[in-house]
Amino acid sequence: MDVLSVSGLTKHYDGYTAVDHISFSIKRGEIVGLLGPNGAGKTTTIQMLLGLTLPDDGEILYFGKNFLENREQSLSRMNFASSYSAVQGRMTVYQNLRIYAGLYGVKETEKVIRQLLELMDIVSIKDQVFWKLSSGQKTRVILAKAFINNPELLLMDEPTASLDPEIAEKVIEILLELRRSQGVSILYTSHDMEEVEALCDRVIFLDHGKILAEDTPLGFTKRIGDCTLIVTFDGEQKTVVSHVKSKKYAYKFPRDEVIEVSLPENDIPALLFDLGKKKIWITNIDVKKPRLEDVFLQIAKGQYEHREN
Amino acid sequence: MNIGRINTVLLHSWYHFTHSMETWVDLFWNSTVQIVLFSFLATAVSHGGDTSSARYMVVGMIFWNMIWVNQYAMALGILWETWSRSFSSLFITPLSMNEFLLAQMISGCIKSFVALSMSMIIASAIHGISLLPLGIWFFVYCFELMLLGWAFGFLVLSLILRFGTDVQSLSWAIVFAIQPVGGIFFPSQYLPESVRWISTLLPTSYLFESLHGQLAGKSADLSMIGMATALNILYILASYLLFQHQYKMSRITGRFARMES
Repeated sequence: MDVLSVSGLTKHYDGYTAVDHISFSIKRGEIVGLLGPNGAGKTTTIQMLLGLTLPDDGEILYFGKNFLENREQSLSRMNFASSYSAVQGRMTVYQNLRIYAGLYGVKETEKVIRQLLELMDIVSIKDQVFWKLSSGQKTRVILAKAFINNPELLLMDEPTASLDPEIAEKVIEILLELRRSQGVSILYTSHDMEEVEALCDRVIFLDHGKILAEDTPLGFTKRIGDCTLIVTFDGEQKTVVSHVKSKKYAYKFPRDEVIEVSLPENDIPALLFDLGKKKIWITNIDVKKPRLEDVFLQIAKGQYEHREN
Repeated sequence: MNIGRINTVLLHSWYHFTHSMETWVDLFWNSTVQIVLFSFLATAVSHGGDTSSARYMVVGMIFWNMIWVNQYAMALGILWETWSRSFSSLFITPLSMNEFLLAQMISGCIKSFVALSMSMIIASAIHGISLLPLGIWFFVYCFELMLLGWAFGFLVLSLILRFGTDVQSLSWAIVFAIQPVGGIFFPSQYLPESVRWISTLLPTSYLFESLHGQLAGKSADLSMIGMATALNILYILASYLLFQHQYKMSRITGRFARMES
């Protein structure tokens, strides 16, 4: 059974469609990335998934049941974290966690809070009021809050945005461990493509409110196909150009003795061998494989659809 | 309705209260200063021989706490979360809006009785006023005024959901509109004729008339209390329906999710 199933979800605001009939699902233990440039519809989608905004059309099912008809039951089994959200600033970290434990009906509250304070390394700030914390400390408190009801589904909107790399890495490890040990499912948005590649089983790209593409991170990078070969050489530039042109590869010269060639990964050995035969002395080679970031940039620039066509 | 979650919101209110100097000042400092002022004023008026007007003013100020504190507690309960950007965090838990509001109403009720008790003690000490002749009716008057405070609370929350925090100052200000015409500090019959009709629409006019009759030795005026109850029921239903409508509309238009941004 899908933990989350969304079908035909649509939201119109004055004169424009923020989310346009999107459908997707998340299985138990699956981590799905929801990506897209600013204005793609990610925030509106998450707001509808949390019940803060009502959809104009479409259906959201959590654990097989209609969300709007089973709001309380659905929300008790899930949680949300964002580096942009907050808890009551006037209250201490402990008091806030105590309140959220109560709202989720958590049993053994003290034990759970103590474990979360230790897990997120915030024991020392538990008696400090929330608004006085640094942004990194606040994010860790928000993450502790997100784990407080032992959720089966986590919605996370850039949860590591204000964290130090070391802590961000630890958070990713915690999420992967939660998935491994408890089968937690996660819907994850981030602008950190490396993080998404490391964490997500599947990625959904949104643009202008529509799902533009859906695939595994590897599948996406394969769609781009070409990688970039950077060759530093000693020899006649004309010879190199004529050979690369004959193969119809795109190329450019960042410096006179360096050529960057865009080509399929499998063609690299043959090209290097051919250049060697033409008495081009190769002094350095670097290969840049396509990354999710490249797909994201293409989408942001509006080139992705064109390329797929 | 889940009792556990309502208790949790009450605990939230208590935690917040202990960290909020502003709430202490708004609720208790202002109430104290006002009742001291009104008690001195009443003492001065009494020297002129008009003990009835003096009593009217002080009793009005004591009971004003029931309207003001209950309305304030409801509106501020949401505003504090909005200012803290924690509003959406609360409502993505199983907590429902009705549970949240009921907890705010209970919290307001407790705060208003504290403020009212404090005012009673001060007024008694300075002006020698006693509300004991009201007997059990004291609680009836308190409850009626509390209902009116909640009705204003729903109205203010509806305006905040519709217009956002731009209208947050109404949380403090709106209820004061009934002070001049509500028969709270002086009998409505002394109002200028052109605005006297407004007082007939306000439950306070009827409640204070009955209340002062009792303090003067009469029995409770059931017709007056009945009229006030009918108006209170009408206003609380109307304001609650308006609130529910605005709550739904704010979730449709996306304003609810954007309230804290």
